[in-house]
Amino acid sequence: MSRRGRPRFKTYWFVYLLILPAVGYRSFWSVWPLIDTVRLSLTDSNFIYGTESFIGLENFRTLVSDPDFRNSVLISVSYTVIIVIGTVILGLCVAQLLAKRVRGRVLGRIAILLPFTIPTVLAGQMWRSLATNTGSPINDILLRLGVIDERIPWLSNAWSARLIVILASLWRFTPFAAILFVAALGSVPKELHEAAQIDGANGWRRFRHITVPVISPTVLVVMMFQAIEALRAFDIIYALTKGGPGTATDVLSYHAYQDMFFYGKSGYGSAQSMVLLVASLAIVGFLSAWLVRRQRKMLM
Amino acid sequence: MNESDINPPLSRRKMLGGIGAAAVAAGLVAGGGGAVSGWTPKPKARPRGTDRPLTIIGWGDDDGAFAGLLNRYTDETGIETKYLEAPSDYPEMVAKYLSYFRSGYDEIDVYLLDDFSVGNFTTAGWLVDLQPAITPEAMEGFAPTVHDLFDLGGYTRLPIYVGATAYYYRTDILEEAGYEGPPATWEELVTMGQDLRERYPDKWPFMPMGSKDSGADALAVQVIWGGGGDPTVANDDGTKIALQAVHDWIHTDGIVPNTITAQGVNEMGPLVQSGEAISWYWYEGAETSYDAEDSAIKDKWAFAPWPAGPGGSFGHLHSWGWSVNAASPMTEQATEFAVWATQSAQIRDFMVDMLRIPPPNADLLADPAVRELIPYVDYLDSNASGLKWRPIDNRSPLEVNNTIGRMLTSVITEEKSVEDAAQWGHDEIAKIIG
Repeated sequence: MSRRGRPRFKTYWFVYLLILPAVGYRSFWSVWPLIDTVRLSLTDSNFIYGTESFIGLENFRTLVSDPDFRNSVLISVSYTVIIVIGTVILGLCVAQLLAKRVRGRVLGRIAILLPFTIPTVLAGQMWRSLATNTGSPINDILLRLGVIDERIPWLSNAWSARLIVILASLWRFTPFAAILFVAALGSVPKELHEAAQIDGANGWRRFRHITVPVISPTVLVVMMFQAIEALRAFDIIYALTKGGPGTATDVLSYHAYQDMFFYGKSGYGSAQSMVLLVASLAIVGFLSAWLVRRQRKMLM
Repeated sequence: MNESDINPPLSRRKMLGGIGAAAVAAGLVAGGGGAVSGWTPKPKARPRGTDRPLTIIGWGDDDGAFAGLLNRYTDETGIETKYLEAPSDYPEMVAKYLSYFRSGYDEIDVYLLDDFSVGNFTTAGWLVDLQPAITPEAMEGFAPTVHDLFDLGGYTRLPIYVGATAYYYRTDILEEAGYEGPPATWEELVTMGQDLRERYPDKWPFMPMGSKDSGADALAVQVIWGGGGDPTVANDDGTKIALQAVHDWIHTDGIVPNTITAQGVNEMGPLVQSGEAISWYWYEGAETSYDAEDSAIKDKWAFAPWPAGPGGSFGHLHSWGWSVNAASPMTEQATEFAVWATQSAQIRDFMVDMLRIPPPNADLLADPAVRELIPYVDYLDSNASGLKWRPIDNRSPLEVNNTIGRMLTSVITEEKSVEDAAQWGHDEIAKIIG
């Protein structure tokens, strides 16, 4: 050890040497594409026209005035907010159920956690089959129950398509939140609840003043993960609606993909990817800072 | 005696030695195992372009038509071929091809391309100019529509067929409702449609292919031409008339469902067979499915020219054809295949006899036997003046036509007003065309 207590390179060079291949491999496949994306975002690179000249921040200036991009940002932000709030609330509800000692708890856990094991693309395809205009099981059930009089074209109407996307996403992502919340709920001291009960606090007050403060770091972690997941959502949109009908579900990641891989606008698409990256980093930074502040408060 | 005497820590030398020994052992096992099993390691460098089949990618081949074509080529030339199926989803196909071409992937020699993607890939310089390989006799052999196609889009693709969209309708339902024939104008489409909708509430009078799989751009150009507009100008009066008409068919007249925004090529078949559509538009080659033994509409359908708008009655021509990958190490062989595969003998076998799709060859189009087998050929002839190629004479037909389709879709979904959509379309297309 050095005088300042940090490991000496001389002592641990061999360790660094051993992990170098793995770190190098990972860095190459992560860092190099990132650097190239940044580079492309500053050019007018287009696969089709064969152009690649440096244009500085022109792509970003164009994005600001591009109504389609603004629409994608609005849809992405709305989608992210709804998914984050939805998964936290639903995840907590599901976790409360899973935490109870009832018969069939194990089977219940398996059933609730099953969507998490299904690949997102497959989940999108499944929901597409459920909501398809021809022979939709959702419509069949609602018709039989008398809830609706005629079939709803779920994927043909902007608002119903958005609803299906949100439902599919919540179905797919809530189990992850629930798993984390089950673990967090297990860490809440029972004695606090018992003491509060004796003092006459009802369930809601105990939840609000005991459970929530204890599990709040986990809530922040879930929010962070879900926000990033929602911001970069691509596969479920691709499988379910391909950004349609029209541009109703055209989230930022799908919009960038279209520009890049359908029209060959690699420069412009890269600029959109950079916006997505910055937004994700901002969310991670903000929520991480909040988490650290929260933890410091609790320790005081 | 302390812990480190009993269990001395592993030194770096010993660890390195251990790793090295393990690596040598693994290599010996692999080699020895290979010797035992008869496996020999493949050489790292493989000669390119000489030890693999000529590789062609195209449509799904459930009928075995393409397999038959390739087998025939192998029989005649001795050159081994391999066929790959492209994704049936059009945007997926384009994205995949774009990735292949962009990366210089040279393991696919011949691509089956449509009117749009060939334009974009030609602009990018990824396709071989096939004109030098086409003899004057072969050039003479192509139909006039193909010559128009060459004039518009160049010679980077040799078409395997030239088709067009037509207005399809249920003869039994129209007869039952007392109509002698299909609507001839937009006005008749609306009045007949409203009457039919009242009589058959579970059916839609007109169910065009919609916004999925580039269905919207196909509908858009035809309707815009019918309105007297130019899709590449977009903010002219004819285009606005057309956009308003489609909007009204859905939202005011109630003769077209708003579900068309989620309907594409793959959805139309089941919709037509389910009887939900009284009329629709489709491409050539429908006979094989509509008149199949298990078809619900066997002998109950017909096709006609599109109902005429203020600008006239129009349908759009379209084609798929063979293009040669410029990065292929076998461009000469690939070009020979493309030229061979578009000769009358080959087209007769696999496009005409098997797939019932109108050929691009003048002699086949004039053949009475072909005309009897494919009634669509008469439709192409008798409506020649109303059939046009879509805007493909620009540097990015994919983007131009997709923009035209999005312009229409934004009106259908009421995201934009007709005025705003037309102006947006005009501005976007101007940016693309330059």
